[in-house]
Amino acid sequence: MILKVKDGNYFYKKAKKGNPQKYLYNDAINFELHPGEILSVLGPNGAGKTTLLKCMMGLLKWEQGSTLLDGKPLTSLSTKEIWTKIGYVPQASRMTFSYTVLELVTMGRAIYIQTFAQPSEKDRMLALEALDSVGIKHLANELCTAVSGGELQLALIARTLVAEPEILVLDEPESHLDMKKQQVILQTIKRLVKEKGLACIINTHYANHAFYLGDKVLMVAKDQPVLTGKVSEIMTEENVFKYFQIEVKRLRHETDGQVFETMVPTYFGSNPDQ
Amino acid sequence: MKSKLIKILLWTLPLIVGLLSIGVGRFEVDFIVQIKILLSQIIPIEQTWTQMEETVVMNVRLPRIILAMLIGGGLSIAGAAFQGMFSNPLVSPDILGVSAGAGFGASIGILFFGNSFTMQIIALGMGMLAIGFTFLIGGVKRDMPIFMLVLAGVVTSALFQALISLVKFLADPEEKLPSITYWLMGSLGTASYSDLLTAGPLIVIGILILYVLRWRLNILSLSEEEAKSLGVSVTKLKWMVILGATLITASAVSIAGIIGWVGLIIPHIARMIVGSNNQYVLPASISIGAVYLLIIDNLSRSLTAAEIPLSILTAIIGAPFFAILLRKTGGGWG
Amino acid sequence: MRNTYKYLLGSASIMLLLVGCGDSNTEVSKDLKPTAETKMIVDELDREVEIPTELNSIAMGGILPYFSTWFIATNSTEEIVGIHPNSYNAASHSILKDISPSILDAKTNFIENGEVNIEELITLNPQVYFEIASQEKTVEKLEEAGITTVALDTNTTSLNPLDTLNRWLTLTGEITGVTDRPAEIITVGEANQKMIDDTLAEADITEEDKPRVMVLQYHSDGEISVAGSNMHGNRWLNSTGGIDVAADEVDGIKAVNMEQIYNWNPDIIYITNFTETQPEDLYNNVFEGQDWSQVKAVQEKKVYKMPLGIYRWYPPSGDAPLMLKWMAQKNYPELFTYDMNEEIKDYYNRFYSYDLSDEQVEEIFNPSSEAAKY
Repeated sequence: MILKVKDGNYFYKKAKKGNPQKYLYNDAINFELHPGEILSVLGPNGAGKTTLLKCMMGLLKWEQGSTLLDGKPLTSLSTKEIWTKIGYVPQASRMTFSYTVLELVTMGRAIYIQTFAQPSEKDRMLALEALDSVGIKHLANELCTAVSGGELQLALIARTLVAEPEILVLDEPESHLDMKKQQVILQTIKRLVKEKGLACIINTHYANHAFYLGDKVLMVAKDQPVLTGKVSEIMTEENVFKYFQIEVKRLRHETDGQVFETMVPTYFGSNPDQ
Repeated sequence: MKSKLIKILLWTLPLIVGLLSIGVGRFEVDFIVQIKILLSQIIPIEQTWTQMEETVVMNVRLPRIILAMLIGGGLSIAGAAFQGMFSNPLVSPDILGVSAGAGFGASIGILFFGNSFTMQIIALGMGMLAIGFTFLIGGVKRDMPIFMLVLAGVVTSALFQALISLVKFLADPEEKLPSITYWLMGSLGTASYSDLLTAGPLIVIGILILYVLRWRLNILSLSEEEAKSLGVSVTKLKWMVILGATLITASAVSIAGIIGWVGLIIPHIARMIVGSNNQYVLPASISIGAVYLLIIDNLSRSLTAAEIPLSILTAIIGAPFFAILLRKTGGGWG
Repeated sequence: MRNTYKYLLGSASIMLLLVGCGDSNTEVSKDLKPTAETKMIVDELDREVEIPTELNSIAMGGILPYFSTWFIATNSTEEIVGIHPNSYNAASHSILKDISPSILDAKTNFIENGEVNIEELITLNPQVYFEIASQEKTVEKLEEAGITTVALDTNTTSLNPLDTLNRWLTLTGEITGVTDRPAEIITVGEANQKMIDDTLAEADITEEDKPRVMVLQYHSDGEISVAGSNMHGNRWLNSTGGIDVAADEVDGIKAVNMEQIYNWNPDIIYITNFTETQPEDLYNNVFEGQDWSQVKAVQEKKVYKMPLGIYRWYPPSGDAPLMLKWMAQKNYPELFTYDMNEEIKDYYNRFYSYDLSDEQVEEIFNPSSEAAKY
């Protein structure tokens, strides 16, 4: 499954007659994603990262351009065709009703279950399998409101997996989590992508996470051209300064036979003599 | 094990309480006699009881018991469905203005035609009209965002409440006004088989619609985009839920007046027992709601010679009960 | 800031003005002494009211049956320039319009939706306005507007059904100065009561012998409301040797269910004129879900619609002494053998100077369902 966004752009407010239309992105979004690839979307707050994901999936309508799945425009596909291909993991938020983790994950099977039908034993088995694949099978009967934020995020990923998608879309899955939980989430995502050959798009605030996830980066910011390309090409000190208005040092460090690529804000630096 | 027991209880309790309720009332009928009377409808038994006893059991109590259970179960499942759909546990079935609309219909019905079949039809029609009005304000053509629907419901309720007040103001204080006031507080005092025939099927249809959608309601309770991304046609689903709940509420109001509290608290009690999954909450609500309103109505018809309006009892008994549960669980249902 | 100050000053001066008005009013009323043209009476709110001796225009509001009291006390409706629309409806459907057609000249436009429109009332300019005592606010408002208002109370703690009528008759006598007629009617009522008491005592009627009676106040497909204690029905029954089945359990008017009625199983049912239901409706069992055929009164065809003479007989109207006799006869047909047709003809002839035809008597005893609508 190849996901392609062609000339995509969006605006919140239609310009008044006679005025030129102002778009959200400085220039149109264009990228292509193949199975097994991860695209990290980076940008400061308010740059329109979440909007980009929503437009791409058809939850919002592109004002210009289109999304193509294997060359077919999204708008020509049925709801079922779209959502069996794309799995969307929203940001974990507080839930009104405390479903159990298993119940939450089973909801991911909705697209395969008739409107008036109830989930079958098979749906429940698949949900348990999905929970197993993200490593929280033991939490199946816990309440969503009782598990940690990281565990809830993993459950949401599992909920997406039970629909057996080919493209995984995640909206800042690791924000608000502590470092250990970030590790679990990121490792799980990367593992799933490689194991199942998924294409994955992920919004993130963390430049370092883009290095870890690898493959491609899409960088957006207000009044800046949209940058798309390989991580090593896009993630430069100059770009980060331009897009995030923060000075960073890109470091490469080898130790114990491992290579670490990372970015550190310069204000972290200190003079050891002082 | 425990859940199996709960399941059995939820299925059998309404039947047991229903059967026992036949023995409750101002007119004394021996328990054995009432069992005989009931059985005599199916198998031939020599009549050893008076005609009056049979009338009390078969024509006064039985239709009323069935209606109380239907309405109690119906309002509760409608409340549970709306709470799920609006993703808000404080919602009751009249959130979109159905009750106020049907209440207004009933008031003008009583004003012009007395308490009659015509009144019921007007009540039912006005309930539907109120929902239509809510849609008109809330924007049918768009996706019906939940907050718009709620606000439109508030406006509609306020409008129809004002119209009810207007009717009361115009009504003859000697006869019509007490009738309207009493009726608006809810009663099954004159429930009959014909009420069962006119409103019963609509309530049953409404219950069935919500019942088959029960699992889908879980998804509807998520955020709108989340639900869409799970491949659910949210707008269509909302329409069906609203249709089901409206059929139930408008029919209930048209025969029994406005009965508050049931649709609000029963789903909470159901969630405390079976958890939050609407697949189980909705059936449990039917069962608990049926038993609850039946008990309330038993009190209403037997506590004093005068019929006690249902809304008074549902609130007086429901509110403290709810408060105790709240304190005990700390609102632990979510 | 300056605006706030202005508002404060404004409202303060309005307050002062109001206080000033209040003061001057009380002073004025203290200064007033009855003159040759006026006299003082005490109304049923214990207010002293100064009224003209010579009355030729009066109006009455929420005190619905009072026009009939006025008529029997004065034998005239000429003075009545305004009545409540409900009273007007009742009058125009009753025999009163034939006996004293001038009642139909009364205006009703000063009452809108049950509320007094003071300006319309001032336009009508009655010398005295009669209002129900429970509407104290209205009475106060009218007094402030300079309309002489007499309050009449419909509530009574007395067990005597004629108490209200007697009080109103006495007060009306004081107001008009004609006291012999009211006194005569009161005497007739008391005589009727004594006759009933004596007959019952003579026949040795004990509690067990008394018929058990129910008063059906409002009735329809969807409502069965009975009148119990503290209602007119209860007083009529107490005075005519009936046992009110609802007295112990129902205070005022309350909705009940069929089961409760089976439980009471009354010997006799009286239906008021506030509801459209007729005895035949119960005999024919026309109400969905209500099986009246099981009830003793229905089985024995002892369901009676209360008569409607110059007003509904259920509340104490000018015909109240007749109501006593009528109900006593229905309760004990074998004890009270007088001819009600003659009784009513005599009474109308004596007090209203009107000869009733047989058809008219028939109509009074069998009021139509339509009568409930006014």
